[in-house]
Amino acid sequence: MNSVFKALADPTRRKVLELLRQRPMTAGELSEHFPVSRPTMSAHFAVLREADLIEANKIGTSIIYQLKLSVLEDALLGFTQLFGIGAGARAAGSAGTAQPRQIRKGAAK
Amino acid sequence: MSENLHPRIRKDILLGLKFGMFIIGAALLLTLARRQGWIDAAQLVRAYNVIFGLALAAYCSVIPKMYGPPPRSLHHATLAQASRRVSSWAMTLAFLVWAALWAFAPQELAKIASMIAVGASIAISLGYAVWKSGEFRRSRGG
Repeated sequence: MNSVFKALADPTRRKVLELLRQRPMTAGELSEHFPVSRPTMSAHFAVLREADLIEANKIGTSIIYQLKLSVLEDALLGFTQLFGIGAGARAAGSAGTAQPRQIRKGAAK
Repeated sequence: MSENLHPRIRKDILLGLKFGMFIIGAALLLTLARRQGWIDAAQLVRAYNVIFGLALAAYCSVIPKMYGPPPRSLHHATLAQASRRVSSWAMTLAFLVWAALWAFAPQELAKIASMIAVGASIAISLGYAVWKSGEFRRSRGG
């Protein structure tokens, strides 16, 4: 459970989970939403995978990330969004509210 | 269990067996309590149904973490994720309602309403899966 709280404590990782709630996405598609480097995003994905909140699957040449949230974890994520936990960190310039970068062709591969 | 069984399938089976053993253990303890005269028949039924409802709510809450075949496409992954989330939420809430009804409602009402809650959650889960599959087929066809 500790790894889950650690994963949910970061606004970027929460934003990743929020995006994955809509539909599974490739690593490239997710990275487009954050103004951070690929290695940083990979580190975030690793933390989420370690907490068993997301799952990576290979389809063709793409790696797609899917949600693996239990109802309790889903509710926890909802609460953190509802009560704006970590909003201070976002306001301080974290990636949570960052504007998406331009979508580059082939970035999903 | 086969040695070749996928580790996650084995984990899921073990989890199911643990929940089953917990429910059976609780039922045996409650029966013992009844035989000792610590609780009456009505309390036995209520306590058993509350434990049963809470155990199944906990089990259904982890449905999205259970093993599923690797997706063949992004559409397939989207369909699987959405169906699992909806069925997990519907079943978890239904069994929480089951437990709450058996804890607080009059027994006659609890008997009927708890069945309706679980029946509705199954209908929602199946209905959603069928609707999403139809939508998926239409999008592929069109």
